[in-house]
Amino acid sequence: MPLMPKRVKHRKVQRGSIAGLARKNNKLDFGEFGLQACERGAITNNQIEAARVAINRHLKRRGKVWIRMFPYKPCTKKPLEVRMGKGKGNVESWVAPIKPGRILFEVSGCSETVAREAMSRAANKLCVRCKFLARSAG
Amino acid sequence: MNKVKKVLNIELRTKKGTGNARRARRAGAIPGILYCKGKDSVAVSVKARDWSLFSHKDSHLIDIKLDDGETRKALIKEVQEDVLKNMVLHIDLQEVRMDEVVRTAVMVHPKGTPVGEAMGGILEQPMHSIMVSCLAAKLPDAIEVDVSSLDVNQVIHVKDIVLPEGVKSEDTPDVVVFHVLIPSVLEATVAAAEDAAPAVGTAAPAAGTAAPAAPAAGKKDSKDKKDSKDKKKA
Repeated sequence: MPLMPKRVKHRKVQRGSIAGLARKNNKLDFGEFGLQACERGAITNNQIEAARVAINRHLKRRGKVWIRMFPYKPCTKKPLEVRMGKGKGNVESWVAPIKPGRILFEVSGCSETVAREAMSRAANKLCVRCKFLARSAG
Repeated sequence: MNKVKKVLNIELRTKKGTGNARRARRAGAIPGILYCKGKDSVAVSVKARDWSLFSHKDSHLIDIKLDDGETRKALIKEVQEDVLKNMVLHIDLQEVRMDEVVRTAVMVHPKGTPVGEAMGGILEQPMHSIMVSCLAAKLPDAIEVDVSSLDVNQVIHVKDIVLPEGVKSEDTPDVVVFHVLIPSVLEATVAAAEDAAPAVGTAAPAAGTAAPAAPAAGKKDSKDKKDSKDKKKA
């Protein structure tokens, strides 16, 4: 089941901006290795799920995975061939706004080679450019 | 136990402020500050190359050499980093006397291979450093914990760690530092609690079900329509 909030205060919200850099959640806190965003963007719940599956498949269910983001923001879309107006569209997906520097995933319980490949596969599923982090390297 | 291995050359910094700090960074220096109990703090700078060569990962207590040639002991209190550029922005140094009690975080490293790993378990380390207080002279660089006796589902708490003489732990004793888990127990966990759900206020079931349920609902509707058409034809 894709990630989404159980309940929200407002069904639809304005787009907002994703300005600045990640001032928190920008360091490895749980695992030995991690994936860090280098760009800003909005990662959808489907992308997070695809990345999670890619990591788990490569790890072959060994090791532990932490998802360090949550898609809390509703994203709406009007249906195709519909004229403008008549109110805001329906909620199409849930996104996690990502600022540069944000840690997206963390992994532990595997070798660096395996973690690097798993994170590379996960990064291919995401809409932002990412880089690999290892705790030993700082 | 505590061996100060290297000497860091630091220079006094006369030009202060954001602009001067940026200029110093461009020139290959790292701005910093040196403070001490009972003395005024001094703005300093360190050459970035010296800092990169200087191994500060584990050891917090270092020797610093000022412009006047005087060597002192200092504790690395904080290192501010640019996480994207992997660049050190600023360092905080606290001058300490060796007979002074200091409180700092010390890294914990596992030693040996747990017994549980042979049975398919994985060693997890939820806590990578513990807060200790001791005399500066007795501050360890890092603490090694023997995990070779750890079986599956066994844990090592803070209270189980044998600290060097004179070193006292400041952390909660029941916090888990190492544990061995079998992979089936390990599941993906969501750790972004802070910005997870801004779920305050009234329930909005429509919002929760809208996105993923929409295609399913659409299919159901189309099926219902087809059924009703069939019935009409009949």
